[in-house]
Amino acid sequence: MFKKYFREIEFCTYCPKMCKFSCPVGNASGVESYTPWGRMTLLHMVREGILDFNREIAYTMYQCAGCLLCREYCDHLIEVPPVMIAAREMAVGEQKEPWEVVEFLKFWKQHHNPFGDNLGARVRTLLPDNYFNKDAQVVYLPGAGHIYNNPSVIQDTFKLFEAMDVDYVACYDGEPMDCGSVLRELGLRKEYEANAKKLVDKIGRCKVVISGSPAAVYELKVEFDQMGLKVPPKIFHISEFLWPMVKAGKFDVRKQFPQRVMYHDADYLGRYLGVYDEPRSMLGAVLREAPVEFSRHREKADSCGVGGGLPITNPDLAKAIAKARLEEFYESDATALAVACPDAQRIFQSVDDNIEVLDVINILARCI
Amino acid sequence: MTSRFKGNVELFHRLKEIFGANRVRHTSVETLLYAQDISPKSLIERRAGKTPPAADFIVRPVAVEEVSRLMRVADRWRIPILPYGAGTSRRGSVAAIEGGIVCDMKLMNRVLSVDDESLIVSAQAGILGEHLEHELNRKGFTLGHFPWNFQASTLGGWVATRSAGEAFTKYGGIENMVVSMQAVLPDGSIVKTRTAPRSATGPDFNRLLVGSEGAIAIMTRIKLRIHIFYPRQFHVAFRFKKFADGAEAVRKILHKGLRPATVHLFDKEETAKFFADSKLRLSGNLLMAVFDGKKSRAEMESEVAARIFQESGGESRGEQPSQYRMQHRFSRVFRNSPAFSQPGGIHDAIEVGAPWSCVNAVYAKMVKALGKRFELSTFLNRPTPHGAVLTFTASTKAVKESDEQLLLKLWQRAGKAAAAGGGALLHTSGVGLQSAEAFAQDLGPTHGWLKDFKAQIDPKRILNPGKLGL
Amino acid sequence: MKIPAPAAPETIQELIGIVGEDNVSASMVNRLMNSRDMFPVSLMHHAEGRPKYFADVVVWPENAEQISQIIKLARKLRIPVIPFGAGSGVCGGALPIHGGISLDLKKMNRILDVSADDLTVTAQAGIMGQTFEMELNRRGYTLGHFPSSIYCSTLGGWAAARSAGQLSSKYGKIEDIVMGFEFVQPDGRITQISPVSGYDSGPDWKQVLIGSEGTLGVITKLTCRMHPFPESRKYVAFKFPDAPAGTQAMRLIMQNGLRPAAMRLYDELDTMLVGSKGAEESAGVGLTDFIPLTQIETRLRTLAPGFINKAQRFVARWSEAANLLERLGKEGCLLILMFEGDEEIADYEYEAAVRLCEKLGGRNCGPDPALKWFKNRYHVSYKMSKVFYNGAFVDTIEVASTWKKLMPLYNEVREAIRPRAFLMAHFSHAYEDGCSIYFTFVSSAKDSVEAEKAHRKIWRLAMEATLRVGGTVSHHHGIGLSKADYMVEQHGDLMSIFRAVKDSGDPDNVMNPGKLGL
Repeated sequence: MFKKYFREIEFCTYCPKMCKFSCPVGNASGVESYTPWGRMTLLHMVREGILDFNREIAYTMYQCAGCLLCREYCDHLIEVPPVMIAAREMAVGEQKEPWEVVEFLKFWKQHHNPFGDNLGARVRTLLPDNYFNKDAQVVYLPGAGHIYNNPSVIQDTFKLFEAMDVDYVACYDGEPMDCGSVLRELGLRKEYEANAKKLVDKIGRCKVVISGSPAAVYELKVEFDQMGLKVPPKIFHISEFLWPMVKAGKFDVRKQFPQRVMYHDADYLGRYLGVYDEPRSMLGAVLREAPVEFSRHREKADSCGVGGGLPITNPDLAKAIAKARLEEFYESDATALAVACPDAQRIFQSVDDNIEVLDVINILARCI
Repeated sequence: MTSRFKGNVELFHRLKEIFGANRVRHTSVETLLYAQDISPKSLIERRAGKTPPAADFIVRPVAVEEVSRLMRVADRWRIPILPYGAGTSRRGSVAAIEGGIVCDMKLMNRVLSVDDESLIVSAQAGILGEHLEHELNRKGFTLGHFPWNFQASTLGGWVATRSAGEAFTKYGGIENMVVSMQAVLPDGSIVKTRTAPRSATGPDFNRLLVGSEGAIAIMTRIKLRIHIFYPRQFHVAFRFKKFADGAEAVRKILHKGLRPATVHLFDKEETAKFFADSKLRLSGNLLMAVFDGKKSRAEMESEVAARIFQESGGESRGEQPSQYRMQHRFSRVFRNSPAFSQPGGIHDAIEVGAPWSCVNAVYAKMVKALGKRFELSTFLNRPTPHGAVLTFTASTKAVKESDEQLLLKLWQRAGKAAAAGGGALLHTSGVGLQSAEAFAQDLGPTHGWLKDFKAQIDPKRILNPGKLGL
Repeated sequence: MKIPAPAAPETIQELIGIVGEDNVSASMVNRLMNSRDMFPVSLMHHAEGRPKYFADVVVWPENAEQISQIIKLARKLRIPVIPFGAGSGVCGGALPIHGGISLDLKKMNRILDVSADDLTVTAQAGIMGQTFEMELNRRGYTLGHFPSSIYCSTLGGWAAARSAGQLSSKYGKIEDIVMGFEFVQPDGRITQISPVSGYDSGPDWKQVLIGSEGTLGVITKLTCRMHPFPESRKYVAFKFPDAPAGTQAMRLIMQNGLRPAAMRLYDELDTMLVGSKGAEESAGVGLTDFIPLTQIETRLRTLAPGFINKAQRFVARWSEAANLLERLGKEGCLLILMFEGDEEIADYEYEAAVRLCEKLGGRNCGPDPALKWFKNRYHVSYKMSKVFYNGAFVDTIEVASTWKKLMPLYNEVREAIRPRAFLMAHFSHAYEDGCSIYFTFVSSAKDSVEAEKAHRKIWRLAMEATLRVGGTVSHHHGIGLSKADYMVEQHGDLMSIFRAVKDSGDPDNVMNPGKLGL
């Protein structure tokens, strides 16, 4: 890992912390080592033999939400999260990972997803049987987070498909249900790869995969591909899939969505996948005026803290990050917060159950 | 050297009583990291695998009362306190030479109020600079302070080191922005300076605390002057045959009374480096000025400036070069990492302040003294009607001697050349440990007074010992 | 008149050894002259021939080296040293309250360097203000510092007391103008504070010494910013319905980045005394004109003819007359503006300010009131003697605050003083974040003992009001003796810092003891 990320570690070590202000974990904690510079400098010291890679340093490597915002402020375009994940893999390899990670792995081995229920069975209760076709070429992969936390998104997705005469998409309901994003983020590489292979066995032969979960899209499209797995040729986030049709007028807006809505860019959807316009455009189609923007948005959007496995290794901090993001929502005149990511929705709701956090799909479905 | 406080359980418990278990730390991993700054000297040491002296504890106050209680604990145990912002000192300001407690201010990071009538913002000292400016922009205001470490420095750090930003010409240094502050003295008393535009009530205590680098008090809350924010900026850029002609043109617009937000005059080398990645194909000595503020004013001033630049022999290069510079204004700092990533490579920026009458001599002498041995690029910035700052960026050309010797040589030669030209080396990122000697020399007998003063106010040398030569 | 004994002959001999025979005097006259300033109470004392304080000896050093030796001698002998410029301070800062050596700097009065390239000038501390300005004007420059005491104050005195000039909105106060200086510390060592100002690090010792009023040592030589002599001047005046409307215009002018050289708003009473058709001499000066008696009568006669007899009785009780005037007046508040400097910039600023004032509901009164003010701008200082001659006393209070607290400050101070004195005010020295208010009060008492009591009471009330609102007790006159208590109240625990500076630098308390609440 030190070889692979030599340049990253080197450059961050000698950098005057230029990205400092952008790091959500650094900001929420105020801790110097919980910043890209701090974590990378620690790795540098480990590499140089100044420090042993002990449990504390390993723990520090987990204090990153993987949001990638620091890259936006780096002239060298250095990406810190992959280095953190490599360091976490090292920690797991040396059995120095935090106990939360050990606990998580136990849980995963039992349930094969981060939530516990048999998610495949739950999906089957959400939709009529005819939506499940094992031979379909175009498959909708429900996000585990949606199934667990907000299954209405899955129902609404198919409602929208119907409204737009899309009848060729089948819903995936097999095992594993989860893309294993969190495994990778926590450095549990072995389990991650095993899970990835299983999932690709089930859906690899499809032509198109669509998902409402940005993490799932990213894992399939980028990570699985890098592993050399044969992934479907086309992988879309639901907003990428639907927007061309909405734009073409296939979507009949019966009524406008009555609320002022603010839109939050999820990390995976935004900085990892580069999808910024489609969710906004879809909202634009049903809102009276364009969605309210956070002052930091698109590439520069602040994280909600749900990534990087942070809710597992440091849940309080993850929530503090989400809370900080919400401050601007409170100040604005928006009454609903729109996201296009099940995980972002979940964490926002968990820090404040008085606010309305809606998936873009929910909002659209209410307008047909 | 192991600190005498290492593993002091009683002290640890006392700190936990004040800050709770979550906001006290004592592991070597943490403390070691907090002792690292980004001065070339410590980067060289880091490359060589050496570690700086570290503190024993780290605490993170959330309220001024906690800082006050911390002072009392420190007084009882005679343990040093090292106020800490974002740790981007370039002069060893965070090294814990006598061990102690790092007081990390970053959890005190709120904008407390904005007085939109008097144009004054009140914020806690630990807020990161970028966050403060962002908050102000959102409310329609700007502070106008953009130092090189804007993205990685705190308000308290700015004030403690008397930071100057690139918009100095129009908005002044941080000392001109501070209206008043709340601070904790070494005896734990919480003091406040009066909020008034100007006073004639004895010494200006704000200015005694600004620049005190944590050696006199810990600042907890600061009120600053702000300005109405106009996002639209007017840019001009002109190419000059000679660096001196460009400098003369800058002097002319300032003597006329124009107030550009920023002015940069790049020499050929800086132009080549800075625009290397752009598609603008620029070369030569490049003068760029940015005018902000009310549209009609900024527009008028930029037109007058363009006219004067033209009359002074400049060739217009349109708006783009200056816009590009503005977009990449913090980029220069990123040259640090590639340089230090090379074995034996060093990289440093040396700033020399000079009155206009000496600017050309300083430039010539510095280039002569450093140009052979270092890859040197230079720009003039932060001009006033009375003078300007020349920033020399030097990187190793070829490794012939040890990096430490090279760094030492760089500064020695620079110091001599600057003085010979009639300028003065500036301690731009604070004095800290590494510039303490030079600072004491600059101050002359006054430094002795400052030392005695420190002994009066902090007899047990609790606050940031060794810094500022105190 | 009881005259205490002068300094011991040996002391005088030693001083002669340092500065030469011509530069030492223990004569009664010289000692008396250097033992007073323009602090009204000390004026009263002197007027009655009972000066309270006496310097032991006066010396006129010619360079910093001599000052260093004098200070070392004083330290050895434990006698105070009181730096003395032109003695026009109004707070008793130069009074030798514990006797000692009056260190008169007026022989150090040369301009040492004028740099056109750098727009800087270096001069010795004892140069008189007007001389300094005229010398610069001759060379095509201006310092931009015009306190109304410019004829009777020195450059060093300005820096010692944090002086402000009438055109401070453009050029700044003296602490903004001074870039560096040479200074003799209380230990006799001479130090240079670099004029490469604005770029340096560490605590700004310059800003500690400026305003220290001689308690921390002696400024001997100063480098200041200067400006090209203005090529253009533009005048205009506006009438606003009341003080809040007028101060709002001032605030927005500053916050829009405009920098009028002069900007003064007279409150309603002041405006009335300025009078649109008042005595020609008073036009533009009137609010600070200290002979309001006849004017009040004149105004009352025209406004309320039937009241004249009653009014004459009122005249003895200033405040009620003022009240009546205000009720009858409704003349609004006059704002005077003057822009100067580079023609293109002055024109732009003038036009922008006119547009802004008109938008804010100001009535354009043309350039005349401002022109008149500019012509007569130093007249006010001449009025003082007249008042004292008439057996009354007059004093001025200059406080400042942020814009938000400005009207509360104005109202509270007014309410506190008006039952006891005739009071008028103008707003000047504006900044982006706040402004100062200049109150002038006139009152009388049956004798000087009563007058002193009344004077002190008025101050106490005004200062308490200022501290209550959160303003600063002095904007540009300094603290000296008269405001020492209020300085301590204002700074609170911060005084411990000041005391530490003093004790560490001057452990024997030689430099100007007893001032600034030390």
